[in-house]
Amino acid sequence: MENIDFEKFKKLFLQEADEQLEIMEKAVMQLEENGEEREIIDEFFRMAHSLKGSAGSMGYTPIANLTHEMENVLDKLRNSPGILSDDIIDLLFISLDTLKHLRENVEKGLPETENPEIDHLLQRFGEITSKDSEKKETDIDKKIYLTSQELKNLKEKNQEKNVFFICFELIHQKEMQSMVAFLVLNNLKDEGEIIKTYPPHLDEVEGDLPFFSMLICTEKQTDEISRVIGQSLENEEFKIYTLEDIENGKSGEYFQEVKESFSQRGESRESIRVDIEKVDQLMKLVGELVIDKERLLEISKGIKANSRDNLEAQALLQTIPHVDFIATELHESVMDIRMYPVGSIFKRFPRLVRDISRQTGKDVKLKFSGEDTELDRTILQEVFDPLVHLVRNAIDHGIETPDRREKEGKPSQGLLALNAWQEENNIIIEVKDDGAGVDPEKIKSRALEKGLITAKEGEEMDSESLLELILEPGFSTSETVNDLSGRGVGMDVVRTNIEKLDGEVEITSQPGEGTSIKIVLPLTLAIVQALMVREKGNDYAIPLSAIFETILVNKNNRREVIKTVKSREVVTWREQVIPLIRLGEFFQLGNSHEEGFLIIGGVKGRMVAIMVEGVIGEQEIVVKSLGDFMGKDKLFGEIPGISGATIKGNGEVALILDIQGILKSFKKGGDSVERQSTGC
Amino acid sequence: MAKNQQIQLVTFQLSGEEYGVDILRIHEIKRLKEIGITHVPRAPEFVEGVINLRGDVIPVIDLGKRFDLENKKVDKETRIIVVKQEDKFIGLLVDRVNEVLNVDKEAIDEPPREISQVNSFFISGIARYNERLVIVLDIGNILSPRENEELAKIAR
Amino acid sequence: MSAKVLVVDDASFMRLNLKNILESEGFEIIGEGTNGQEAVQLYQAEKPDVVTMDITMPEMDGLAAMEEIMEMDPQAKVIMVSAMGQETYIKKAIMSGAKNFIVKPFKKEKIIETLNKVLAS
Repeated sequence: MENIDFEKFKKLFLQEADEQLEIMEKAVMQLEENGEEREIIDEFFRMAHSLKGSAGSMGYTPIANLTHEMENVLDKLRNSPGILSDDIIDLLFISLDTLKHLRENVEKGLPETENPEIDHLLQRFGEITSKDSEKKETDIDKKIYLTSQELKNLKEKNQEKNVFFICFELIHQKEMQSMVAFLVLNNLKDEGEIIKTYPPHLDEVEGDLPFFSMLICTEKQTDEISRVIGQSLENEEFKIYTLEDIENGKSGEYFQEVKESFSQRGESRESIRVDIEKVDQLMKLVGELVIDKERLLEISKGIKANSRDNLEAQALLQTIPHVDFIATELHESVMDIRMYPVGSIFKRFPRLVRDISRQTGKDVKLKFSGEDTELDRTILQEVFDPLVHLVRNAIDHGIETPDRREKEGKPSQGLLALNAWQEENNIIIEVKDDGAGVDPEKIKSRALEKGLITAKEGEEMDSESLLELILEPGFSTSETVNDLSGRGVGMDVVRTNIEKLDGEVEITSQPGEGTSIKIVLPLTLAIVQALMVREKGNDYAIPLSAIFETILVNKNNRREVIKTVKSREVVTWREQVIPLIRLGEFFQLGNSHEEGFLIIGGVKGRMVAIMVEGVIGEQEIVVKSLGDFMGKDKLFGEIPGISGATIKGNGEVALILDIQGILKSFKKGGDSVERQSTGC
Repeated sequence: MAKNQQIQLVTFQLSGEEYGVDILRIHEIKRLKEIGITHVPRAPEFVEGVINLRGDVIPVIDLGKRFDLENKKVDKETRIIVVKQEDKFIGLLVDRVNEVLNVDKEAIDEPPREISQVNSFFISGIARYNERLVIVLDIGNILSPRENEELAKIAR
Repeated sequence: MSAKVLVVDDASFMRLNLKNILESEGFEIIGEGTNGQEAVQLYQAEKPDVVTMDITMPEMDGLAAMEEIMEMDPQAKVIMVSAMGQETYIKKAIMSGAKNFIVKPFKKEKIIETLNKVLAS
């Protein structure tokens, strides 16, 4: 067994090594051509570091040793600009050749032999890096690392606020230095948000800590921050750097902007590769565990009431909350494993962009940021097609031809950016171009023409909601080919697909300056909190995220709560008049009932009251996709109002209601809802 | 040699006629009573509902309704045959499961246009076994949406 | 005007030591508590400007006393006096509102500096 596993790992190792070697080779060539470029050195370093890691864990010592030395020399290049020499380039080339040779040996299964060439290389590397390398090592360890994207987000999100990087050195206080840090940290927490610290978990460190630093985002000014720090420090040194200082490199050696996931280096993680099917299987098992856990909680309620005196029952009752806790933790850990970097789909775009640009005669430069932003694997797979569509649209209809761009005083090469970042519980993927943009007024006239809005509605809409019309089905047809309408081709499909993932599409655009389309996605889908309701003997789950309130309707309050306006039933809730949908009628399940519960729900400001017979309670549900069977051209066809299914505690299936879908189908086919109710 | 030329058909009863499915397509056979079927509103009529198959949610199709046959009431002989089609599991509701037949491949003919009550869109062949005629089903087409069926009709 | 200090420590040696240091610098000692309960009572009665609070004490420990004082007077200025190795207590105290801490054994200058800082804040 062990051998089989080892062979598997070896295969993986070789695959990865090929990629890494290829990138490193490209990097050396670029270094030779362009001189010291920070990004390239970083990339190179990362590859060497990964290769070192995997070689080390596979026991391929010569590869690990050599990459280790390469890493050192690259690190030196990074820290002491200007030392790149032909000598170093040579050495790197030779090392890569040697690495390739070593890799071949691994593949052929040849034993590691004494290799004087490697010793010689190691020695040469050693000569370059030996000078004051000791100091460098400790300095690196004290750095706060922030990725370029993080830095950029920080700036953009906090334009009104100040970002300070503060370094502390404790010279006088020798005892319990970590407590001084804790005190300072605690006081500064009141002044703003602590973004990062060195050491990473500053509030958990104990003992000696002569140096620490933190990055804070605050509304206060330097002097105010300085005063607050002064209150807790006696005669100790600290320095405050502003964001500009950081960017101008004045913050010295303790702060470092890095590219991509290099920031993890400071925490020296180890990782293994796991077959994704195994992770999916694990996820499935955890899903079942969560279901059983809910069932246990349900059973325990019954036991609680019936068996006060039964010791065993009591012991069981004490164990169940722990099982609940463990299942939740386990679920979170597995979800974490399922997270995949967005870069894994971004990297499919350069080729695509080149092809589309060629077909359309555009000159487009593609840029990425936030490639290491992570997203649940399932969501990531689903998001690729919509992204392709958006990118195609941006090049086809957004970015102008080089001629036209020049006429308008823009650089002839258009810019297309794929950006990703996290905002609270959402991941945002943005497709942004600097093309012609979209004019809201033109959209308005087109929407009027198409009968999507009335003149009055058009008057009342702001430019944002006008832009959103692009996403409406029927906004654009393929027979029109001008820039404006072409932009909308298939956009409703994009929106539908994203909404299926519980996401949203947001458009902003400046005529003449470009368009940004953001896909806002939930971090993860698989397990959500839901309210279980019952209608005509069927149980349905409604995600809590879409529910505002539940109202009991009985004989006494029925007439007050439910009113009829223009032969449609409505509910007044918090001074809003919202349409009432009887679930049984909506799903064509049979006669309506006059008592039950109103579920007040809504998405994006649009509200609906759904009437059901009963409410069972809140619980965690595992979302199972029905995507294989539901939808256009599939077995079930399209079923408005259902987004998926889940498995109840008793093992039976319950369907998950899709409030957005219900709203949509209601808006689109309001008449059909009415027809149904008269038909019953 | 001859053995290689045989396939195994699981046969079942549907509105008086005998049908067969290649045993390699079949994942398992369940008694209807063992499982609760959840109704899927607004789905086509032949969709009986969805069930939980060890953590997967899979649809159950009432084959009788799918073929527009006279429906036999659900009783203790009613079974769900779980088949696998392109990595998806699907349950087929049938009146009764009969047996497994070893049929020579040569004994399976092309489906004639109007052999049975069933639209030939769903049939991949007719197997002769002694005196019996077994209608061999094309699982792929059974699972395709109604529209394709209509299209197929027009094409004919 | 000299600042009023409440000194809380169960060891009389430590109280005396603190008293000497503080009085020599012009602070006024308005009370000495030997446990947490006394500290709370004295605080209520005397409303001192600042409290030095030992952590390990009988009856009610310094942490609980500090928390009670903070509850009575959210503006209260309490400095924790701790021996080495009581990080966990100090952390809790800081999170509950203690203004600073002093590590035993302490130097005179350190005490005075810390008190002045806390009083100035």
